[in-house]
Amino acid sequence: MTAGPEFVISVDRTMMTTHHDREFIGFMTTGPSVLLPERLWMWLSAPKVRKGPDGLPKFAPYGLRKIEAALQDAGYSAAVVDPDDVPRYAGSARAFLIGHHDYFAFNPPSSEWWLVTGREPVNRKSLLKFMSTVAGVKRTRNPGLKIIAGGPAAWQWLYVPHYVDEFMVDTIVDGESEKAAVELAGMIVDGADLPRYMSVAPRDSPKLDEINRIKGASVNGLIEIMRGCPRGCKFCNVTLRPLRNIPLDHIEEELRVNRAAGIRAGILHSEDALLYGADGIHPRPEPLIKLHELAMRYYDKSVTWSHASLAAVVAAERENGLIRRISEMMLGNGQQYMGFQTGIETGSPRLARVVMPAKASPYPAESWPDIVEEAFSILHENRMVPAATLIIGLPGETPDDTVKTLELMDRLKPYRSMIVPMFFVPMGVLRREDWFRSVSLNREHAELMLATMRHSVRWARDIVKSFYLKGATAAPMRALVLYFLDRAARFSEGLTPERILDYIEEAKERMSSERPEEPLLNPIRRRLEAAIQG
Amino acid sequence: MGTLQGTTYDAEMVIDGCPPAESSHDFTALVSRWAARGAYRFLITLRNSRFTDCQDFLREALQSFLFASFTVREGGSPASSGARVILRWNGGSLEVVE
Repeated sequence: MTAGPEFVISVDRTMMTTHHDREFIGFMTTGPSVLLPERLWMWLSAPKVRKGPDGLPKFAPYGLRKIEAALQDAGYSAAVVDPDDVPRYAGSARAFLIGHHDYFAFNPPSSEWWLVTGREPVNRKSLLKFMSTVAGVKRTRNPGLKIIAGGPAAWQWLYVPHYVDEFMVDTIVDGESEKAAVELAGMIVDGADLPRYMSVAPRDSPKLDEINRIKGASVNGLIEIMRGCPRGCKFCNVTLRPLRNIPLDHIEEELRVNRAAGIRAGILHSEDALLYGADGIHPRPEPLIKLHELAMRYYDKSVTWSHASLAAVVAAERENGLIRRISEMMLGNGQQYMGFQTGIETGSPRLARVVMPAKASPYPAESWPDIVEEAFSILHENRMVPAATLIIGLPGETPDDTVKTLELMDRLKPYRSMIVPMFFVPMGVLRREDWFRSVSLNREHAELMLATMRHSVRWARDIVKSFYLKGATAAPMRALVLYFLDRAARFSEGLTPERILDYIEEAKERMSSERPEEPLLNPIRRRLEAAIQG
Repeated sequence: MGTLQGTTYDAEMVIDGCPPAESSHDFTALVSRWAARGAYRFLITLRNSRFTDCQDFLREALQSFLFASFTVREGGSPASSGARVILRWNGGSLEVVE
């Protein structure tokens, strides 16, 4: 029927990029440009991705690669294409599929930067422009084109019906989508009417043998090693999904694909990498060592984790000295450090017990601040750098809880890390257009924001100077990042909690005149509110 | 169980018109009763309304059940068999009319 793929898969530039081969730079796409012109900000955070001889992107987001593989394995002509090429391919395709982790900047940290600055994050601006282009193709050149939106932020479309109409989205798919994508492709080929919305129940998630293996290389060598999480935190829906450890032979096949594309550094993706092959929440040496040995055979420059929990760090080290062993394995061969994301969320044992009772397991929730500090200490000694989140304004949170978190921040000062606050905004409030007016921060919150900013800027400069952006090719970006961090450091030194509160009030004023649609809140927040109020 | 285009559903709910978001409580009560009997795959058929016009209601109704699969379509013939109800907003509640 067509010269190009029948099923075209893509996403806007802020995701179809390798962020200069440095995943952490990707966080810049979640904010508006700050202290730099937007074009420069975009070049820094989301440069164009290289293409192969077939004209297709050499690297693409892992989630899109999974959908591409699912469709190809089912016999469909499908390919991930560069966003710049979507008008060309979509003009003659049967369907366009998009996946995103934050379509409209409603997730943290985008929503935080938006609220703090009062300005639209670049990821949202980029997505809106891109979807407008796709809809333009459908409107003018290919009226039969089906547009399908999925990925972890699919839920956001339910809060912006005018964009569903404006961008002519046919179907929204929420949940693990491999099987749903194939089902929809069959309906499209058969000429059947498509559903407008599909959610995939956790029990319908693909089983291990139903998870397709990527055919093309993933952004920054990211490869999934697990799905699901056993910790049951009330603000997280990943915990509802069945826990699956991806077998080593499956992982190796994907490592081989990435290595063949020239990738020598990559990320092992999991909600809690140290629980790969674990005995419940006790990390086990054998599967972890085998996993890392395997990854290092293909990624000889560096291996990192996407996420790991702080309790697992402590358990791994206390029970088997595993952090030291993994660190010696991975950092003895030219790799300078290892960074990953983790969650602190609160320094209050009381609040930890209510919203994340198993976060500290196998240790009691009451010991959470001690576990956090011990984990940070272990990581610091082993040149591992956590990028941690805190949640501000959890339902039921008292000023005393925030003071406890401030005390924990004080204890964490000596440890190399990044710590970022996120706002919890109640569901009921977010149905209103002026939701941001109801984000009520007190002086303790402002103190905490200031403490995290000073901590993170200080350690970010240390990380860039000691480990990050090494080599001549990275020199221009390193200079820009250091310039930005120096300015941010001077800015934070002059800040006070009162000024932070003033900034946020000013940002709310700006947003009240600019915000076009009814905002939202995701179902996780609803569950959390219900759990806490109940 | 009902089947549509090869997919099996535990129950089909036809929503006639576009109920207000507040009535999602009635919807969730109904789904909860079915869920208590083991149902988790639901087909929602919108009759006399568009998906985007009903998103306030659907958002509230569907996102309360993270354990379930929902497929929402605009119109269409009934699933081949299985439990099926027609729901309509009567001004005060979402009532089962059939």
